[in-house]
Amino acid sequence: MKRPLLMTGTTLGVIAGTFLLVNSLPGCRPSGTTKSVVTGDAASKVYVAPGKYDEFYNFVSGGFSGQLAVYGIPSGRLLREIPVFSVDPESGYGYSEETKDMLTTSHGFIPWDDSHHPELSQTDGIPDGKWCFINGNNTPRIALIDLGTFRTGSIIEIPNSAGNHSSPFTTGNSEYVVAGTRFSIPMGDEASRDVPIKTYKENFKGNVSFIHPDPETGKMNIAFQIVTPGVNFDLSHAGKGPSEGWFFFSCYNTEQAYSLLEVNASQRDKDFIMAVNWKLAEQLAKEGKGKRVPGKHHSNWWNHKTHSTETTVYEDVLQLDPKDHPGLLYFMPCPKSPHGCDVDPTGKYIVGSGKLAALIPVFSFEKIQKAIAANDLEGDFGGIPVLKYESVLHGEVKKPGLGPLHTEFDANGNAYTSFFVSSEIVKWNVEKLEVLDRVPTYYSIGHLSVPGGDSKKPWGKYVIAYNKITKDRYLPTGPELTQSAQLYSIDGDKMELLLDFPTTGEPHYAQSIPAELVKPREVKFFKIEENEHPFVAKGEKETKIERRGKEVHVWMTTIRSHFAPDNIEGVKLGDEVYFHITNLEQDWDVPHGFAIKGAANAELLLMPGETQTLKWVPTRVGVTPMYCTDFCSALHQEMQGYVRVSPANSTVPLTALTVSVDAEM
Amino acid sequence: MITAADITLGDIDKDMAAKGQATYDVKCQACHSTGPNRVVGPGWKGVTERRKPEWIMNMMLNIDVMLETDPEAQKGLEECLVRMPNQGLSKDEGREVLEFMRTL
Repeated sequence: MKRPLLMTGTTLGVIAGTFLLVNSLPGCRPSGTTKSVVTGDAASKVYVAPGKYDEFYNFVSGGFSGQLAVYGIPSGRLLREIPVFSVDPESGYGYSEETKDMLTTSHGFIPWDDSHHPELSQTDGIPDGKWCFINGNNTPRIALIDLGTFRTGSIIEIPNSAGNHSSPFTTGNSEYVVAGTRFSIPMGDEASRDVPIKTYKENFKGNVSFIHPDPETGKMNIAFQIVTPGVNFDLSHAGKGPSEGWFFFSCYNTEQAYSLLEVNASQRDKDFIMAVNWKLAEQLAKEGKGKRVPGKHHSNWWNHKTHSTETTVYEDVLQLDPKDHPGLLYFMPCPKSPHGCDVDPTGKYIVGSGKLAALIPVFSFEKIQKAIAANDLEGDFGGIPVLKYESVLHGEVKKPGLGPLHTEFDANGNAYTSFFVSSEIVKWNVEKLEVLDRVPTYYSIGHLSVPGGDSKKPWGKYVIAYNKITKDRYLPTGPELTQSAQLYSIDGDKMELLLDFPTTGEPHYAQSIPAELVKPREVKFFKIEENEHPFVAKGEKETKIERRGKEVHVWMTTIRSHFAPDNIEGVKLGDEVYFHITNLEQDWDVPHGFAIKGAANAELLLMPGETQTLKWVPTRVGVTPMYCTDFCSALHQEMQGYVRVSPANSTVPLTALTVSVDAEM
Repeated sequence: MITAADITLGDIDKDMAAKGQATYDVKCQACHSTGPNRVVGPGWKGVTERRKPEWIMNMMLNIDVMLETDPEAQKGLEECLVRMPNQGLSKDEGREVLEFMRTL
């Protein structure tokens, strides 16, 4: 959430000198920074000439918008906003008969969410441009976006979870994406769930889920969940190289507070990073270990052939209890309330970013393995062994800044950490733990992103800051100001600010990938021959109208620039009319729209070769207009039609026509 | 681009024409009647007498080039004001549609 700045610029100047680490304060602009530090020929480095392409696709979460935005880098131009967890009346996503089931859950139809972390699918630890995953925080879900169509391809609900924050980070070949519950909750049957909140310590549990996307179809299912002591999970990352087979989750609230967490969950000097041996968990699941526990959830999948959602409802889920399986989980102490949990490109080091800490701890995977082998523990937490901090530590970056949040990497052994409280990016060397450079951000950076920066092969070149506050950076737009990203060059020794660009929603986190890995995958249109929609009309000859009781079904087509049929009569008050519309075009970039007066849901935007259905319930007698909403040709304004609605007892026969003045057929 | 050398016209091949008609029903009929009159684009009756076969096939398969370079295609656009869509036909499908046109 974006929070308003509570102080004016002048009071800030006074306070900044004695700025304290108080987590209730929103991030503030540090003193001594200038408003713009752009130097030299920054403009030429981000200028992409008309008709030229950007070098990277940048997938940016919409935060509270629930969507995923796509920008070009380095220009910062907005290319697209992909509807994911929130309905989109512009395209009909979440409104059309076919897409609305994408948003069904065990709680019913949930038309919005809070999307935080885009994660590109990987092959051998490197983003491959096939899919982009993103988590829904509020009603725990993970979505998979197909980068051939730039559409949501599947959405799975996560049971026994509350606040799906530490998600959807991937293993090196996207065997799994993970979901760790932010809120721990009581699980099990109804009686086990209906408990006093103050019994948190006894009754509340956390869990982390491993979700398997089918490599061919993208259909997702939950392979297994691992139940944990009650804490808050925040972020996570898979091991790679030597640490392949392990997953690391940051967690806070090891105080197990259930009220006023701001204070009560900030008591301990160290919380944990949890290390999960997921290869072992996978093996246990395959051997039939663990048990199926209640956990109703929906898995929704978009069928590209039928242009429709297919939903599978699961009643339970496979859960592994680490108490039965030693070696599955370990906790590592990590100062303090860690957010980022990031593995460097070599896979040797795990960086914790404790948002209330004044240092950055770097853990060594080799030392973790040694400590496990030597049983070098400082105790246990809820029955899970806690490794000794000093034994697993590679070292600490001392006094890096205030409020370290998240770290990504370049290919040259450097890390870039965002600092929310001191509003800056700090570059440091992972081996040597030395701070190399720092630049201010405007203002209050959350996550940052380097192209490929959480993978085995960072492409580097830029670091992008995703800020929580813009305050005075743009033309003001009333109480609510734009959100923003800032692009910095990291080619040289010094980071260099190149560009500010506004973003839609809250740009919580983002990932970038070279355009060349995505562009060749693009689907230009849907082949009409392969359309298996049950109500497809493959040509105007197949258009028709049919009454099924109170339902009237219209098989309709669009082509530049008319509907067939475009004169419909015999609809009566009390009917529900289903317009099944097929766009007959077979060329790139020729969508048609469909709108009808009084539609209580939305319009439709139909891509070439696609069939979608809009339900319309007429409310009055008369002749109702319908028309195309997407400017399709010089005769777009002529692309229209009429539906005659008669009283319920009318005997007007049901007809659907397109009348051509002089065509001799 | 299709040239005259790419097309051999013999007696009408009925199987090929039937396949062409099936493609017409899905991808062409919305705009072209099989009679003489224009709907969105020109009616097809007698089209194979008015136009060379390679011109017809290029209109189906290479519309962008035709509208850029061919004066007759440009004249058609001025008249109809809707760009002939590229309907994604293969070369074989285009040839079959041409065969269907010959039956009209």
